Amino acid sequence: MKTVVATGRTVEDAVRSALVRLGVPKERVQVRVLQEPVKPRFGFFGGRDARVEVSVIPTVEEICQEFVEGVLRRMGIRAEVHVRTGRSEDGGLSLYVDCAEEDAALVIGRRGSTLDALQYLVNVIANQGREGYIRISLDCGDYRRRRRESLEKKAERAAERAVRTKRPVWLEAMPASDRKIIHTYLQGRTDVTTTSEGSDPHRKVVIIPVVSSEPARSVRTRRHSR
Amino acid sequence: MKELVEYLAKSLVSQPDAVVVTEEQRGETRVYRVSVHPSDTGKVIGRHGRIAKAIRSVVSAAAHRENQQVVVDIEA
Repeated sequence: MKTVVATGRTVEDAVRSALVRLGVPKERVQVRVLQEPVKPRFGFFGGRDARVEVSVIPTVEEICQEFVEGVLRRMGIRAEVHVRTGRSEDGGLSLYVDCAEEDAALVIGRRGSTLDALQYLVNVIANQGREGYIRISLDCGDYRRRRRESLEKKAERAAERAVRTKRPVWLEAMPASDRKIIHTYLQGRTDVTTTSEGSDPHRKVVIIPVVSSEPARSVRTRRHSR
Repeated sequence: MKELVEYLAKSLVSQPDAVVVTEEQRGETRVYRVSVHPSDTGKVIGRHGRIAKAIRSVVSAAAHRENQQVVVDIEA
């Protein structure tokens, strides 16, 4: 946290000069009065200036960047964390880990497990003592986009198979975020519906062919969003 | 590695000064024991142990790089 100590004839004066030095508006700082001013006697004897300590309150972006960089540094990875703007549709914050290619594999982990763990932790930390919830997404080596594309391909193939065989197709167990990608992707199709079965971490997406001409069979076609 | 465990725990709790991490070698495995202020226990474990799981996952990734096996114990 950036902090300066400033003095002035009054507390307000001291704060004002600190704000000039920090270059931030009053709303973004926290003020601690170190010493109240003492008025000089007879106009000039024994007076004392006010002393204040003014600290810039970090933004949620700064908190997240510092945390993720701090974790990676202690993992022995040199990385920079950037904020991506206009990347998130839900008003959340999108962060990108910029590091060497050989380190990216470690940051991502098996099937994104390390990246997901880091993302979960940064969400916890960003929302500590905060009103309202902000969602933070974390990416590295363009993993999220590559993962989405591979899931969509998998969904496409499984849907084709379900339609061709007229039987439901179970995909392998995957986390909620991955299942959501599949459900969303297949929502556009009218020849299949999707649902999920089982409980985490073994929950699976099931793709069920829609049999329009035949009477409804005993296959359950509940529709879940996750 | 110990520093990483400490950093993770301290970032999550409201009383970072009360965080103590000890390190111990048990055969092939290195064990990190994390103790926090009693009021902060939930903050390092989380609902259904989700936070603890995430901490373990990050620490294991770092250990993997050094060809080590680690266990993170959180003392409640």
